Amino acid sequence: MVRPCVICDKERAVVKRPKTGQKVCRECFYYVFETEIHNTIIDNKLFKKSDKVAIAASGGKDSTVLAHVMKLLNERYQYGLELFLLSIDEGITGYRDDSLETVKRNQQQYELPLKIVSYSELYGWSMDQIVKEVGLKNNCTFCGVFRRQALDRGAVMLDVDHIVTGHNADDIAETVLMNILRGDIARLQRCTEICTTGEGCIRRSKPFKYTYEKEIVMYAYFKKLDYFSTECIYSPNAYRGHARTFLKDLEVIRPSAIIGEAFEVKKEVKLPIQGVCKRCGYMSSNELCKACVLLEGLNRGLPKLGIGKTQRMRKVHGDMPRDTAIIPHFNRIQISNGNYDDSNKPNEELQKNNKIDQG
Amino acid sequence: MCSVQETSLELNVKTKPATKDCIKCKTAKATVLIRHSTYCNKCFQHVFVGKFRKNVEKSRILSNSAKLNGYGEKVMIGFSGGPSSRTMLQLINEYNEARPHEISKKCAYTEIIVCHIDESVLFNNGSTLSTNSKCSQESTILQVEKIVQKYNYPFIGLYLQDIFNPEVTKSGCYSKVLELAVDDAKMLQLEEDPAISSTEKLLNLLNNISKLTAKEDFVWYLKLCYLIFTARKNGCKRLLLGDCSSRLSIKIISQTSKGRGFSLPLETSGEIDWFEDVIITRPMKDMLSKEIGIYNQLTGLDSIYVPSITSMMHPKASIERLTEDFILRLDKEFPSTVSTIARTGAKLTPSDSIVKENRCIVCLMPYQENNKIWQKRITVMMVPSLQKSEECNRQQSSSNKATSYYDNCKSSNDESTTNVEFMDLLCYACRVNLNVINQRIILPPYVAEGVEDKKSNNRKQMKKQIENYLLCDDDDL
Repeated sequence: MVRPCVICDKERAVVKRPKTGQKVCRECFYYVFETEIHNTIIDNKLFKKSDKVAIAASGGKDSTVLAHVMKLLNERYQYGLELFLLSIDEGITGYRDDSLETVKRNQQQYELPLKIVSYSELYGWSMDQIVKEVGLKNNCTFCGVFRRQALDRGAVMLDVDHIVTGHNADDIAETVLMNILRGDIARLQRCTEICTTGEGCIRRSKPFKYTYEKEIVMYAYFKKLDYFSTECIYSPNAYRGHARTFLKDLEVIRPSAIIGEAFEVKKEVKLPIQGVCKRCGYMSSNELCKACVLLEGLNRGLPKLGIGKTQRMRKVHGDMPRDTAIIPHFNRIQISNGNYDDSNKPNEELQKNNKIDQG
Repeated sequence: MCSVQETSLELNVKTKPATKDCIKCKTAKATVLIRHSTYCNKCFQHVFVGKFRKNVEKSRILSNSAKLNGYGEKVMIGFSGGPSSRTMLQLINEYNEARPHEISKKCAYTEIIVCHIDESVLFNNGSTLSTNSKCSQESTILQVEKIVQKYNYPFIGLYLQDIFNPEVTKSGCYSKVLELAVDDAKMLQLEEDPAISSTEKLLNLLNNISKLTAKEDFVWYLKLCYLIFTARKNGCKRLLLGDCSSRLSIKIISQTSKGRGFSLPLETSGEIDWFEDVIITRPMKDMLSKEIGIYNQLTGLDSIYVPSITSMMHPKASIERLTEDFILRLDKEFPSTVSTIARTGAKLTPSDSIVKENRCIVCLMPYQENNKIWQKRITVMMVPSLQKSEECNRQQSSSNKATSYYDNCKSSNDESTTNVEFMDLLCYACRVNLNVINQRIILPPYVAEGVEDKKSNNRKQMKKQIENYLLCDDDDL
C-alpha cells in the first residue's frame, strides 16, 4: 500500500518523523528539517551578516549534516556568512585518523577551507599517549577539556567570529540529565543556552539544539552524505551509559521528551566567577584552567592531578617546577593566513619547552 | 569530563568503617547503614526526627517573620496513607504536642486537619486504566480513617471523582464544565449535566487520554488541585505534603523529561507560596525512602499500600515509572544519586519571567510566555505554499465560527465576547498531555472557571486601556 505524504499529499511518504509522528515524503522532510534549523538561527539571532563562522567538524554524522545544512541555508537565505571547517585531531589511531579523511573529503565536496588543530601540536600529547599514561578510566576528561580549548584556539588561528557545533537535542538532553545527576548547578544553567558568549572568547552556538538525532541520521541517510560512524575506541563510562539508556527509553515513551526547557538558578547560590587562566589566558573559573592543570599532571607524571583532589595532590607533590611544558599563551596565537592545513607543522615554542624539560 | 564520577570517587576514597559502631554515640553497636554512615537505633531515630524538625522549624520562622502574626496556624496534612506521609503525620503530632521546654508558648499549629483523597475509582468498574483490573480495589478511606483516629485530628476523606463537584472551584459554586473536542480543540462551556455521575465523567476523561504518561500526570494534578482547593475551603494557610527526597529526585528528573522544567522549582522545593493563600511545605524533603522505611519499622508505624496507575507494570509503561526505575537502580549502584539530585533541585529557583497571570488552567502551574510560538517555530509541519491555503481555510472557518458565535451571543448573553483559545491557556506539558485525547472530553469545573477568569481578565485589561474614555463606570457594560 502506498501512503501519500501528509504534507504535500502527492509523493509517497517514506519516513515517519520522530518529532511529530507525521508520515512525510523525502522532499517535505528535507524542507521541514532545514526550515526548523533556519528558524532556530533566525529566532536566536545567531549570526550577523558577513560573520566568519567555523563549523566544528569531526567527520561524524552531526557535523557532516551541519556543514551541509549551513552551506545550503547560507546560500538559500543569503546569510552572507564566510564558512570554514575546523577539525581537531586528538590523535586516536583507528578512529580520528579515519574520520579526518571524511572531513577532508567533505572539504572538497563543499569547497570550504579546512583547518586541523592537533593535540600533539598544541599540548605535546596525543590521546593515544595520554591513555597509555592514565589508563581508560578518566581519559575522557582529558579529551573533553583539551578539545574545548583546542577548538577555541583553532578559531583564533582562523580569525573567525563564531563557532557552530553539531550538538543536537539528544546531546543537550543528555547533558542536562548528567548535570542534574552530578549536581553541577553552574553547568546546568549554562548547558541549555543555545549560544555561549564569554568575555574575550569566541561565540559558540548549536543550531541543532532542537533537532533530533534520529532526524539527522535520516537526513544524512537520504541525502547519502558521506560520514564516519564509529564510536570512539576509548568508549564512555558506565554512569553516562545509564543516562543514555534512560533517554532512549524516554524517547520511546514520548518522543517529544528530548526537547527541554530552560532552568533558572537560585540567586543566592554562589556561582564560580568566570575569569581567565593565569597560565595560558584561556577562560576559566579557577586560577588555572582545567587544561593547564591536566597538562601539568601529564608532564609531571602525576596524571591524577587534575582529577579529584587537586589541592591534596599539590600539597604532597609541591608546585609545578619552572621548566614544565605549558600551553602557549592565548594572546600569542598566530593567525594563519591562507595556509590552513598546517597541522603537521609542530609548535615550535612547545618543542623548545619540551627540550628544556628533557634537559 | 565524561568519566569523572564524583560518586564513585567518593566510594573509592572513603574506606568502609572498620568498626561497626554507631558514628554518633560511638558506644552502641550500629544497626542501621544509611549511605556511608552507620547508626545505632537510638541515634538513627534522633537524627531522623532532628532533620524533620529542622525543616518544620525553618518554614515556621519564615512564615512568622513574613506575617508577624505570631504563633498559631491552621494547617492541612495531605495524607495518602503511604509510608512517608504516615511518618509525617506521626512526627507532626509529636512536634505539635510535646515541647516541654516551651510550655508557656502555644502549640506550633492551632489546628491540624488530615485530608485523604481516595483514588480507588481508577481501578474500579469498567475502567480500562489498569491492566490488572481483576483486582478491583476497595476504598482506602476506611483504612486511612482508622489510622487518623489515633490522633484526634479532624479527618476529611475525599473521592477523586468529586473534583467534578461545583464546590471544588475558587468561587465555591461554579457549576459549568468544559467540553473539549478532539481535532480543533474547540471548547464549550456547558452547564453540568446531573444525569452523568462524577465517576463517569472522570473515567470518560481519563479513558480518552490514550497515553499512560499523560494520564498519570493528569491524575497527579487533579489530586494536587483538589488538595489545594480543600485546604483553602477549610481556611488552612498551609498544606503539608509528604514527598521524601527519593520521591523528589524522581520527580525532578521526570518533570524535566515531561517539559515541566519551568515550574519544577515550584513543584519540588521545601516551601512554596505560588498558590498565594495556601503555602505548600514538604517537611520530609531530606529523608530517603529507606530511612522512612526503617523508622516506621522501628517505631511500629503502620502504613497502607496505595497503588498508582502504573504500579506493577513494566518499567517502560510511563515516564514516571521509567524514571523511578532508573533512579532507584542508579542509587543502588551509586548511593549518592538521590541526595545529589535533591540538592541540585533545591538550588533551582523560579524564573524571574514567571507571571502570576500566566497560570495553566489545568495544572495551575506557571507557563512560559510564547511557548506555543516557540514550539511552532521549531516543529515545522507545513510547506509554505500549502500553509497559505491552510491558513485561508482557517480564516474562513474562523469567520464562520465568528458568525455562529455572534448568533449565540444574541440568543444567550452569558458568553463573553472575548475569544480565548483553549490551547493558549495551557502550559507546554499539559498541552502535550491533551494532544493525545481520543474523543471529546469533559474537564472539571475548576478548569472551566479558569477559562472564565482569563476571559474576564482580558476584558478588564481592555477596559483599563479605554478607561479614560468611558462615561459611566458600570461593570456590566
